[in-house]
Amino acid sequence: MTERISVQIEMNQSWRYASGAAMERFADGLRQKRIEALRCGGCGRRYLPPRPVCGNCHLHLSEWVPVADQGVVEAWTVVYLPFLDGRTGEIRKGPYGMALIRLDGADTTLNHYLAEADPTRLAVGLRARAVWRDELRGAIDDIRHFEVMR
Amino acid sequence: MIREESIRIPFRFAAGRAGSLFLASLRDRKQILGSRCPACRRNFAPARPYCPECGAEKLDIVKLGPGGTLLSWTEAPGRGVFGLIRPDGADTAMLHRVIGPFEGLRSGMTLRAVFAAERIGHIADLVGFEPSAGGTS
Repeated sequence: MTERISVQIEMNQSWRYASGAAMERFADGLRQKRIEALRCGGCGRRYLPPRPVCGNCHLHLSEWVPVADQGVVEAWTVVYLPFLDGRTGEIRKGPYGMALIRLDGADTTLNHYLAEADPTRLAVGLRARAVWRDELRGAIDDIRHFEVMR
Repeated sequence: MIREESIRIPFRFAAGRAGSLFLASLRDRKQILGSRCPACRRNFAPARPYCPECGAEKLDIVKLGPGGTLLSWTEAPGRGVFGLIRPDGADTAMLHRVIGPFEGLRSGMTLRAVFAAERIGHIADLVGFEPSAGGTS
């Protein structure tokens, strides 16, 4: 059979994104290592990340409540396939852990990286805390990852 | 808050059997290849592995060009002009770069293919198409 050609391509994507008032306050808080959720006045559900409208009651949310930077692992996985990190465009080498973490004071989960990539050392219900970067930019990756508290 | 963000997405894809022939031909012979469907007798540009019209899988390779016909075009500010070009002998058009000014382009005008001096087996080996001298519809 003939030569097989593999095509190298590099896409550079840039965009401007209007974060909305709720995400703006959330992101500004991260810069001071402050995490806040939006609480629904109807059902009491505390949304983190914050969202402007309650998914259950469809009420507009405006009550901010403090949330800790540690919580409970509600679900986890270990990623073995090297994959593009959507925030940087760089390949993130596997294996690495990911988890849905419900921070103390919130009722919803945050999807984030875990420092632990050994599946035998991961379990639903473990507690994990945020590891912050030295330089805070006001973005979700101001938290580098979560580490399991043992 | 308006966030300004950008990411770099490097990747590789396998051009496949027909795509590899197409790219190697640009590189080695400055020849645009297409595929001819023996069932419905359409010529597709560029070469492709199966017929999108009737599903036939064993297509014949056909030589297209050397030039083509401009069907439509647009200008991407700061990035040049792009057009749908139907290579000579093809029944379909390819999206590619139109070399030269936006002004004066006409649907149906004749274009000639411009190849890079150094070719690596990439679609950019065919730099684009430019209006040929005295090209008419």
